Amino acid sequence: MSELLDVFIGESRENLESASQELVEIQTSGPSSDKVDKIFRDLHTIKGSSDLFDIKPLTRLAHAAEDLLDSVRAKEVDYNDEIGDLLLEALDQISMWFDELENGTQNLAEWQPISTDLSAQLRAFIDPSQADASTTEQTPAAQADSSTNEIADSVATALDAFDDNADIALLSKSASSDLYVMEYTPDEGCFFRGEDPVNVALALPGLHAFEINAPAMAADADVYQCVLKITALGEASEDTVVTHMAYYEGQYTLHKLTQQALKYRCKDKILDSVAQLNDEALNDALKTARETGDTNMLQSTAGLLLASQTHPMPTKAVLSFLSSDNDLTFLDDDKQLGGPDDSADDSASGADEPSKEGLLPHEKELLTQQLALISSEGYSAEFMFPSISMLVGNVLKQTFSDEAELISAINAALEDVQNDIPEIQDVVETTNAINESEMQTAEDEASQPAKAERQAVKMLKVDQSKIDYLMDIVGELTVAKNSLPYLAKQAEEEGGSKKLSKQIKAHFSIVNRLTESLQSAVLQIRMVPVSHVFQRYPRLVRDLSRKLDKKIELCMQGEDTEFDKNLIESLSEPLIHLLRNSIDHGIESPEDRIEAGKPETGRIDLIATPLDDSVIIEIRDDGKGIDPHKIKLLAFQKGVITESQLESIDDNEALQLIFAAGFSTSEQVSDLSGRGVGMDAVKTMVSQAGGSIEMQSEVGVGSTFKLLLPQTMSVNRVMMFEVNDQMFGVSMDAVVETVKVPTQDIQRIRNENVLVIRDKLIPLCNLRDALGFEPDGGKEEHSILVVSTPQGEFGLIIDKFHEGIDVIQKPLEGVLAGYSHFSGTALLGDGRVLLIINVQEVLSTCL
Amino acid sequence: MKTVMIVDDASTVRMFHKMLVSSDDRVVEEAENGVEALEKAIGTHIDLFLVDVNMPKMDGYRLCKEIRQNELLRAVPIIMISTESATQDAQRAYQCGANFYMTKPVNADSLKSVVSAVLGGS
Repeated sequence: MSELLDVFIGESRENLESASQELVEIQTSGPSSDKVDKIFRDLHTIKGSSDLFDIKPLTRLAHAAEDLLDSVRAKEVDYNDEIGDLLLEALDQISMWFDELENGTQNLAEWQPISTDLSAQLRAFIDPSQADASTTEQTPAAQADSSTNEIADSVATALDAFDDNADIALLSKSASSDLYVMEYTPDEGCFFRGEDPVNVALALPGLHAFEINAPAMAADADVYQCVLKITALGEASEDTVVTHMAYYEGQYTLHKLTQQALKYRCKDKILDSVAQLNDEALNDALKTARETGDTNMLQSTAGLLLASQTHPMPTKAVLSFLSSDNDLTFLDDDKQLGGPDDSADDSASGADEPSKEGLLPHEKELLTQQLALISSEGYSAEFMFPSISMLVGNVLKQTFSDEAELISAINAALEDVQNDIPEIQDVVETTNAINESEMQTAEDEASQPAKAERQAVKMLKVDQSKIDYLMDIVGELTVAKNSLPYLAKQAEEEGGSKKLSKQIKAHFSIVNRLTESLQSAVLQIRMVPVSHVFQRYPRLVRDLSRKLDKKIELCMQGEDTEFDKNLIESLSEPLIHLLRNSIDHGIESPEDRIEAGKPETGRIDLIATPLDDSVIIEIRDDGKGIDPHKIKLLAFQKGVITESQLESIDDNEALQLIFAAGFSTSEQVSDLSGRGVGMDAVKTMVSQAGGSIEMQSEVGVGSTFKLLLPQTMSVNRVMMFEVNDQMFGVSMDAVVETVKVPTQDIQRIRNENVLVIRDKLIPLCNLRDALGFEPDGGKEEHSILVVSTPQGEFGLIIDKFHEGIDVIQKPLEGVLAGYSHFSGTALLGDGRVLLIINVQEVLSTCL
Repeated sequence: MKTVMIVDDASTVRMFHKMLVSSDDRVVEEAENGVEALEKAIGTHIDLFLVDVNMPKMDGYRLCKEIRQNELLRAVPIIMISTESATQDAQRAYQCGANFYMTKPVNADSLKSVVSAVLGGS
């Protein structure tokens, strides 16, 4: 994917996100001009940028959405939920297309009908009568039958716009049968949009000739309106022409033309020209060719004639056609030779770009515009002269001291141009017209100083991988500085220098302080407000509640609370799961709510609160709540708890059972939440992020999920232990307890080593086996690390316990990345590498 | 060495215009909105502004006015480039001090030619 496309998608995704957010807000709180304007601007940016990539379906859809919003903004169309839904659908579609673009799986042909359909739906809101107009516009033109030799009347009329020689000249040059005639009638208001019809026509693919038809204008005609009619003749496939004219849909009619049809049209002219030349050899050759079909003689004779003399344009074209083409069957229709025609001395075709005085077209345009500016009514010398003079000076390589000099210089340079190209005159006039009120508005807006805005926060967008890299380096630095105390110790013990040791220690405290501030600074960079994730939820809640016919209001608090970016992203999914759960199982249907004496609209609160180095996220609903007794019973049925536990467990503990593996309270699997991953998945994700989750609920009042999460996940607490004289670590979160047991306490049940701790059966796993070390037989006492996993508690038999430390965990890279036994590595203060065990994986190989 | 400043809130568009406008003897400055453009322009020598209309904070029209009313910048030519299809836009751009108005997506060759012409190159 190109870098430009990358930037485009990244930027457009932000626009999409913000647009759909505003849309959802509009749906709950009604449209405001601010919001509509914001959405309009977002779509406008997407459309504008997508133009650069030639992704027509996308551009068209964004354009339609933009136009609709423009109408809403201008109060021409009243906003309603239907419009909102359709716009959201369009946004979703665009977002899906972005996914495909990113994966490189896009299929523009498939996008086309979707885009056309959605655009038409959007446009139907702007003008219901034109619902289908845009899609059918082009069909009649495309239907021109290419097999017939006859030219349709409309095409013939179009061709008549040209000089007599244009068609035959095309015939002599054309190499394929992809010929076209196009009638292009630019919109009346096109000049105001900055469109340049003449340039559009000039840039047509394979353009051969074009004619501009400007009707004589009445004295009181509106000079701002484009009244031109352009007819173009050329050789290119229909597709390329349509692509070229994509932005002018509806303003042109394209007629296809075959070479054969064109030949028939030119038949008389060819014969006339030959007759007029009155060359004996050519006449004979033509006669032979028509009688015998042998065109060799004709071709060489025509070629000779063409080379030997200068001919007027049409004759030249006929000769060059005769010398190149050998299919003359179309001439078989009998026709008297002779009979002079007066069309012969027509001058050159209008196809050539008029080029005068050595000025380039764009220079001309620029100069004309400057002239228009300087002679416009509202012209102020102080305001405009410096830049105009600078610009004209650059173009003409001259300097000017006053307006008169400048005007005459431009006029001299342009001279005939203004008579030649009528529409430029229009532009001049256009600018002369100054709408007083318009000017006033512009004045007012411009005079407001932008002082407040100048103090706006400066933002820097940085690739996240760069920050992660910085974080890694800081992590290494943290570890590296930890070696200083070792060094000091060494200096004291081996070198016997207390002084040196003291100096090292003093230095260490400085480096330590700096590293700590560096670390917290980098962590700060990675902090983003939770709104980053929260902002997606109103949409989710709205969509789901509609699907379920429930009325739900989502209230969010503490969106400014900051969070580590990586962490927040890993949280997005569990939060969605919890929200879904509340919407699906928590909030009752409106009828049930009314019956229960609650307001019809349910309410879900999503609250983030910072607490020291952690953040608490609460999801609270005022739904039907969960009955702990029901949970207890279900848990027992599903074998999550034993019969004795069923008796002893209290209500709060019972509620937490919903996080146990294989537990789902919903008897019916619904489309929304019961996707087979229950609350245990949520709990796993939360604990992977280093957090914890608990649930409170009161029947009939509602439920609350409370997540306690660390603000950053960069520092992990790890328990170190030793196996076969090597150090390993295991995440402290997984550690339940450490026990030392005599060998005889380990029992064997069905070939598995197990240990009974406080009446609980705990399967054991010998890490020496699991990690492939030699067995260490004959020990009297074993150290066992009890860890908790989603599958329950297990005991790891190890050699020796060590302390817990804070480390910065790094993923395994390179060849090591394949070893799923380890979840990562960390550097110890003395430079050793600590391998951190992935408990789940190790257990799966050992049990 | 000529300096062109591209002012547009869409980074894709800035990048694209930069690609078109860049050459060995030109420096391209970028700004996301009018405020940033003014901040950057004052204190640098700018030979040409390419200005988008629709931008947050300070739009293209106001930027034009600010440039024209600024002692240091008033002689710098401005080309406005906009996707706007509203009828009054070109007019308004000219009233606000733009020297030339083009519609997005600009034809690559047109933009190159116009920029070259304005900068006095060939």
